[in-house]
Formats: sequence, structure tokens, C-alpha cells
Amino acid sequence: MHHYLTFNDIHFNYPHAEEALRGVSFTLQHGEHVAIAGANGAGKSTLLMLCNGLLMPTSGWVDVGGVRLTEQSLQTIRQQVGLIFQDADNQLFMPTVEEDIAFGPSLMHLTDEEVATRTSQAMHEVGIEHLRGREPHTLSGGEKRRTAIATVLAMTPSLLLLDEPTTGLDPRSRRQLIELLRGFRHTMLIATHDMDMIADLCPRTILLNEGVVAADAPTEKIFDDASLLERCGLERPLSWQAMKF
Amino acid sequence: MSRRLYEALYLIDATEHTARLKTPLAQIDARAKLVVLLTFLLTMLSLPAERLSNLMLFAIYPITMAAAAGIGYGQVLRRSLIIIPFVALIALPNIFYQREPMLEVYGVVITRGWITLLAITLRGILAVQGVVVVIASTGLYGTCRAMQRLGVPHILASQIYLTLRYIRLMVEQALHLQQAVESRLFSRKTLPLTLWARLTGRLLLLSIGRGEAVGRAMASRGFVGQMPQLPYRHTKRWRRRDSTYLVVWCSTLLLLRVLHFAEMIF
Repeated sequence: MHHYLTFNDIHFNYPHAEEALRGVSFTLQHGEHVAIAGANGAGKSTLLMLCNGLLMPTSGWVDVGGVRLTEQSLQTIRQQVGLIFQDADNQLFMPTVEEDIAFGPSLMHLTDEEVATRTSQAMHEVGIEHLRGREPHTLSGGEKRRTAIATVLAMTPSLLLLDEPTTGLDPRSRRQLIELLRGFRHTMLIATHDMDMIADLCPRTILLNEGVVAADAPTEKIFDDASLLERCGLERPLSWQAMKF
Repeated sequence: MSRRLYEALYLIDATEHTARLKTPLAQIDARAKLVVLLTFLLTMLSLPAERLSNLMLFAIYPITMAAAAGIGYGQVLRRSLIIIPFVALIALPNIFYQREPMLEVYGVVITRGWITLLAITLRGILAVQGVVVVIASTGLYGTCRAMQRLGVPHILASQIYLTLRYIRLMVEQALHLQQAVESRLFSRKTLPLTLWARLTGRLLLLSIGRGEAVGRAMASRGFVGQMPQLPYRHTKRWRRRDSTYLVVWCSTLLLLRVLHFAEMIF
């Protein structure tokens, strides 16, 4: 079977720090929605940044859509892999929502019409057409998150990486975001410790614990193993507990 | 302190906001505004110090532009006064070196040094006013984009934009830090000097962290050091009114430089 994303024995350490990832290996198929779960500091965000080439592995290799991650292939890979950061404020840096969404496509050597079309499509997909001319820092948390997603969708990536997408959202915005993500047909890798969202969106979960893959299995199976979750500093989702009860 | 930081943030944001207003000046192509600004700076700064009265006539540019941009001139003047200590410091030695008398007002002899000091300060104020009205009617990003389109190296235009963007992030971080400190100040009104030093260091570290995060977000969307030329709705086409604006203002400023209107009038 053709793997879309392959992590092969990835080691990574930040300068003057312990290894953040120690021999991480996994593969992702086209169209899969996979959760990367783990406690704070487990290495989730580091793993996402390695997919996008924002960090390069100390050893091991990453392959995205048949392209090996190297300094030379960075631009090709970044067009395929859209990363949505945990703090949307860091992701939105242009004067208006529309300009922010157009930023990525404008760097892809597209015609003006294509950039305009992609920008409008991305805004339509996440339902923020009415925010077109707004300044990003005036948006609510939920609106910022949607805009951040649109900035990435406009680049029509094949793989979406989301880092703690529900952090800081109120219950309604969180629910709207989950519904939005559920509708996506992209291959998705979601780093989170929001176990209820995992239950809603991801049939498969990779558990990270101190930089090591502690488990890679169907989400249901992982939720059934309470001691494994506890060892990884996590808990069963509330919805799951209620269902089992 | 928090209030001042809020005001600083407001000022930064207000710049982009006024640029999007449908004022006569905002409708003019940013390139035309930049060329006129450059002409203003060159003609005004090259005027000899002794022609102080002529120099004052150059105030017509920021006054008219402020009105056309829908900004009160008082606001522009207030912002430009910040420059006074810096330019006055540069010009101060002239008082001691240029002692030849230039004119006498009610028995008080004014030396060349004082005239030079006044001229340099006035030039500084007018230059800042010119820059303020152009940026306020174009926006920071629009100004950088116009610079790119005029042939300024991309790296320079991008650096200017990112620096301005970074200043906002730094003010934001300073505000958060200040609020955290104030929430634990209780009845104390001032902070010990050592704590100020630590806070400054912390602010630097926080802003570097934030800057790096923004940098990563830009890199992940294909940014390799060059701001994109955003197309379609954002790029105004050159129109006849832009040419008219350019010709009228450049001619006026050149005439102000070459002819000595003030001396003709007075």
C-alpha cells in the first residue's frame, strides 16, 4: 500500500536539551485522520514541525507523498503540508484576513486570478467570507482559528497538521471547529490532548510518551486501555466514560 | 503604564485603519505618494538654513496631506514633536561654533548657530510629519509594497515591514508583562530598578520567542525572505489622478525650493 507520510526512526533533539523524539516511526495513508496524543512535553508539536520541515531530524528520515524531506525539497513539501499552529495569533501576521489567506498562494507563483479564487474558496470553506476585510487581531478565538485554517487551505495541501486546535475555544466554537474538521477529506494529523475531540474525529491514535511511540492503534482500543493512558499522562474522554458507564 | 502601552497599540493599529478609509489621499496610488514624499524630503532638506521663512512654507505639504487623509493636523504635529530632542541634540553644537550675528529682534542678536538649530529642528519635524501622513494614508504594508514596486530591493522592503510588525508584537508582550506585574503590585506604586532590568530581559526573551513563532508560521507557508506582491484588489492601477497628484505636488515642491516665495511676500 502507498504510504502518504512516513516517519522512519526519527530522533530529534533541541540544542543543549534532551532528545525530544527518540526513534519515532509510523506511516499515514491517504485520507486518514490520525491523532497524536500525549501529555505536555511528549513531543507532539516537535513531531508536527518535523513533518513540515520547520525542524530537521537529527537522524532518521521523513517522506511526504514520495518526497524525502531535505533542505532542497522544503518548498515542495511545504506546499503539500499545511501546518496550523496552536496559537493562531502567531499564524496571522498580515493586515487583513483576506491578505493573510492570500499570503501563501501569492508565494506559489500562481496567477492573480488563481490567488483570488483560492482565497475566496478557502474563506467559503471555513465560513469567514464576512471577515474578509477585518484585522486579524480583532477577531474572536474561534474566528482566528477558522482564519488560521483558511490560510492553510488556500494552499490546497494534501496533508493537514493541526497543533492543539481546540485550545482556548469556548464550547460552541470548539464544537463548530470539530464539525468543520469532520467535513475535510484531507489526510489529517492532529496533535492534541483533547481526548473528546479524538473520539469524535480520529479512528486511529498514536500515543507519544516522552518522545517515544507508546502505542499506535485504533482509537477505541487505546481508550479501552486505562493503564496505558495513565502511563502517558492522559485520561479517557468524558464522553467515552459516560458511554461505558 | 498599561494605558500608555494600550495607546501605543492603538496608534499602530490606527495606522492601518486610517489607510483603509475612503479619503482622497488613500485613493492615490502609494507609489505616487512615495515619490512626492521623496521630493518633499529632498527639496526641504536641501534648503539652506538661512532661508528659514521659506522652510516654513514647506509645512503646506503635511498640512494639506493630513487634511486629505482625514487626520487632524494636531495629531500629526503631536507625533512629530517626538523628534525634537534628537534633532536638537544634533544641532546644539552649532550655537557655539556659528557665532556670527544674522539678525536682531528687539535688541537681541540672533547668531547663525541659533538659526541653524531652528532650521534643523524644523526640518526634522516636517520630515516626520511627511512620513506620518503618507504611512497613515497608505498603511505600513501598503507602503512597503509600494517601495517594492518602485524598485526598492525586496529584502529592504520586507525588513521594514517585519520590523514594524515585530514592534507591535513587542508592545503586546510588554502589555501582558506589565499587567502580570501590576496584578501583584498591591499597594506599591513603583518597582525597584533591579526588577525593571529583569522585566526588560524577560520582555526581550518573550518577544524573541514570539518573533520566532511568527517566523515559523511564515516559513511553513513558503516564505523565504520576500514579501509577496499581493495581487488583484490590493494593487491599485495607475490612474490619471495619480499622475495629476504627482505632477502638481512635485512642481509645487520644486518651485518652493527654487523660488523664494517667503522673501517675495515679506
